[in-house]
Amino acid sequence: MPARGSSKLTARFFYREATFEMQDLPPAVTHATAVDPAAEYRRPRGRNLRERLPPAVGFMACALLWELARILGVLPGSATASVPEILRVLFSGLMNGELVDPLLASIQATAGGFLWAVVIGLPLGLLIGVSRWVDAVTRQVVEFLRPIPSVSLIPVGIVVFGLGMGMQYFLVTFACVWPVVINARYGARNVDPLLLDAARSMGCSRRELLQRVVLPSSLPAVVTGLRLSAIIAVIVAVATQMVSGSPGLGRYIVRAQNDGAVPETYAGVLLISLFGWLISVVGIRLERRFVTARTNTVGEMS
Amino acid sequence: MTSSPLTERSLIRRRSTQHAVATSFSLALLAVWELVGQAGLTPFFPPISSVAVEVSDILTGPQLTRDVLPSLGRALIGFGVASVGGATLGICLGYFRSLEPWTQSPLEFIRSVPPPAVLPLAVMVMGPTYTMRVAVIAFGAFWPVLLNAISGTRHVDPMYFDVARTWKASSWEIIRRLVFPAALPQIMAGMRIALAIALVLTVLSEMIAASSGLGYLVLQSQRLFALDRMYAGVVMLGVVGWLFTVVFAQIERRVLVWYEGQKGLRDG
Amino acid sequence: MVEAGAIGQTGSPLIEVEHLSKQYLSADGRVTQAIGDVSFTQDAGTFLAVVGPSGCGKTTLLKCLAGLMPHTGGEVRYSGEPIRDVPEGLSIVFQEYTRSLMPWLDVRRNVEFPLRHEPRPVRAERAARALSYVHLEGFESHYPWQLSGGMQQRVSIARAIVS
Repeated sequence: MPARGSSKLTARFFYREATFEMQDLPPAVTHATAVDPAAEYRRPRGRNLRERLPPAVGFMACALLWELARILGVLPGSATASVPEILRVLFSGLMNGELVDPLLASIQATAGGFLWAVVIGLPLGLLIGVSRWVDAVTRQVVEFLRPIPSVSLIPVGIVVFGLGMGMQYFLVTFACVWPVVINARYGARNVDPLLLDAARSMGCSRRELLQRVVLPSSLPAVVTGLRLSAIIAVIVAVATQMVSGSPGLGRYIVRAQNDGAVPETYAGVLLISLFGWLISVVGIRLERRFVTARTNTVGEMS
Repeated sequence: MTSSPLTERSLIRRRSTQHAVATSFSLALLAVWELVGQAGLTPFFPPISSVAVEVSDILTGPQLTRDVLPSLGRALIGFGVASVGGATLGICLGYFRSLEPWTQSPLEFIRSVPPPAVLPLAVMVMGPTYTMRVAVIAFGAFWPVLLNAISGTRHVDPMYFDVARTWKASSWEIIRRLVFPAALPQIMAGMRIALAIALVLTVLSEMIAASSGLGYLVLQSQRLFALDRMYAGVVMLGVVGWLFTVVFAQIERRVLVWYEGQKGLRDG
Repeated sequence: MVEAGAIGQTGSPLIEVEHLSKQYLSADGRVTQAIGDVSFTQDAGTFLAVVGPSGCGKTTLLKCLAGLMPHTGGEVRYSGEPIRDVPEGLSIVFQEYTRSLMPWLDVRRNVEFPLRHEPRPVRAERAARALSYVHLEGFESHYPWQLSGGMQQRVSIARAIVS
C-alpha cells in the first residue's frame, strides 16, 4: 500500500498567466490583418485547357474592352494607343535597346535598395523583437519615422545624394526597411513560449535559444516581410525616377509622356508592370514554400 | 532560481524607466541635429529650430489653405472613392463566386501596375486636372480595399448563411445585413493600407503634376534650396501620416467594437 | 487543495522543496498568489502525482520545480544543490505536446534535439531506440503536422527518454 506523503500542499488557486508584455504591437496586428495574396493564390493552377481558359478569356476581354473604349471615344484616341501598337513598341524597344537601359537601371535600383533594406532591417528587427530594452528605446524613433511617406523624402534625397543611383538606393532602402523590421520583430516576439520552455528544458543556452528556436520560428514572418518589401521597392524606385529624373523606367515613362510619344509611354508602363508582377509572383511562391507547409503560426503585418 | 519578490512598484518603475530612456534617446537625436545644424557642418541639415519655425509658418500662414488643406482634401476624397468602390466591387466579386476564374488573372495583373506609373498615363488622358489626381489616388488606394473585401466576403462563416436561409432573406438583404458587417473587419484592414497609399500618391501627384499641396511645397523648396522649408514640409507630411493612422485606428475601434470582443472570446 | 503522494521510499532525497511560493504580477499591477507555501521532499526512485482542480497551480508548481519559472520565495534543491535554471538530467513532456515539438524539424530531428551536442552516430542510434519504444519506427521523416495527436504525444515522449 503506497504510503501517503506527509506534506500537504495548500495553495491558493486561480493564477493568471503573468503578462509582463508591455503594449505589444500596435493595434494593427490584433485587428483583422490585411489579406495576403499568398493565401488567395493557394488554388493550384491546372495544366489543362479548362483551367487556363477563363484567365486567358479574361485578359482578351480586357484588351477588347480597351479597344472598344478607344473606338467609341470613351478613351481619347490621341492619348491612348491600341494594344497591338503598344506591344509592338514594347518588343522593338527591348530589341533595339531603348527600353533595356532603363529596365536595367530599374532592376538595379529595386534590387540594391531591397538588399540594403534587408541587411539593415533584418538584424535590427530581430534585435528589437528579442530585446525588450532595445524595443522600448527605439520605439519612439521608429514610430515617428515610419509614417513619413517615402516619396516625400525624394527631395531630401536629391539634396543629400544628388541625382544618381545612390539617391535611389537611399530612398528605396528607407521605404523598404520598415516591413522587414516590423515583420522580423513580430516573428521574433511571437515565438511560442512553449517552444522556448521545451528548448530550455532540454538545456539550451541563451545563444542556442536564439539560434535554434527564435530564428527558425520567425522565418515565416520574415519571409512575408521580405515579400512586402520587394513590392514596395518596385513602386518606390519608379516614383523616385519619375520625380528626380534619375535613370530608370520611371524617367523613361515621364520623358515619353512629355515628348508626346504615346505608345512608348504605355509600353514603359507595361514593362514596369510586368517586372512588378514577376516580383510579386516570385515573392508569393517563396512565401508559400516557407510559410504554409511548416508552421503553426503565420504572422502578417502590412 | 530565486528572484526578488515582484512588487507593483518594481514593475511600474521598469516601465517608466524604459519610457524615460526612450524619450531621452529621441531628444538626444534631436539635440544632435540641432548642434550639427548650428555648427553649419554641412549645408544639408539646417538646425531643427529653424525647421520648427518654418513648420509654424506653414501652419499659420497662407500655406495652410494653399498647400496643407488641398493635400488633405485630395487624399481623403481619393481614399473615400476607393473605399466605397473597392468595398462594393469586392463584396460582389466575393459573393458571386462564379466570376472568380474570369476576373482573377486580369485583376492580378492590373493590381501589379505600380500606381506611380499610372500618373503619366492619367495626365495624358485626362490632362493635369483635379479629377485626374483624385482618380490616380483612388486607383492606387482601390486595390487593398478590393482584395480585402473579396477575401473578407469569402471567409464569412458559412453558418451565417444557413441562419439567413431560415429567414428566407433575399440576396440583397443577405449582402446588406450579413455579408457586409461580417466582412467589415477585413475591409477596414484594407482601408488602413489604402489610406497610407492614398497619402503617398497624393504627395507624388503633387510633385509631378500639380502646383499646390505639401508635395509640391517640398519639391519647390528643394529646387530653391530653401532647406528648412523642405524639411518642414517633410515633417508636416509625417505628422499628417501619423494623424491619419491614429484617427483611423480610433474609428476602427469604434466601428468594430463587437469584433474585438468576439475575437477575445474566440481566442479564449 | 493539492495533495502529494509518494510510492515507496528508496534512495536519498532528490528534490527538496521548502516554503515555495509564487506570485504573479499582472499588467495592471494586480498581485496573484499562485502558490502559497509548499514544502515536501521527494526521494530518488519514487513517483509523485500532483492532483487538483483546474487552475489550482499545478502547472505553476511544475514550472517552478523544473526551473522554467523563477519562484518568488522559498527554496528548491536538487540533490542538495539549489536550483539554477533547468537542472541537468531533467526531461519534460509537455501537456500541449503539439506545440512543444519544433514544427520545422522532422520527427527524427525533434527526438534527437536533446542530444544535439553528441556525435551523429550516437544521436542516430539513441533516437532510433527511443522511437522504437514508442512504436513510431518509419516516421522519422514526417513532420509534426503530418501526425495525429496521439503520435505527436509519442514523439514528445520519445524525445524525453532519448537521453
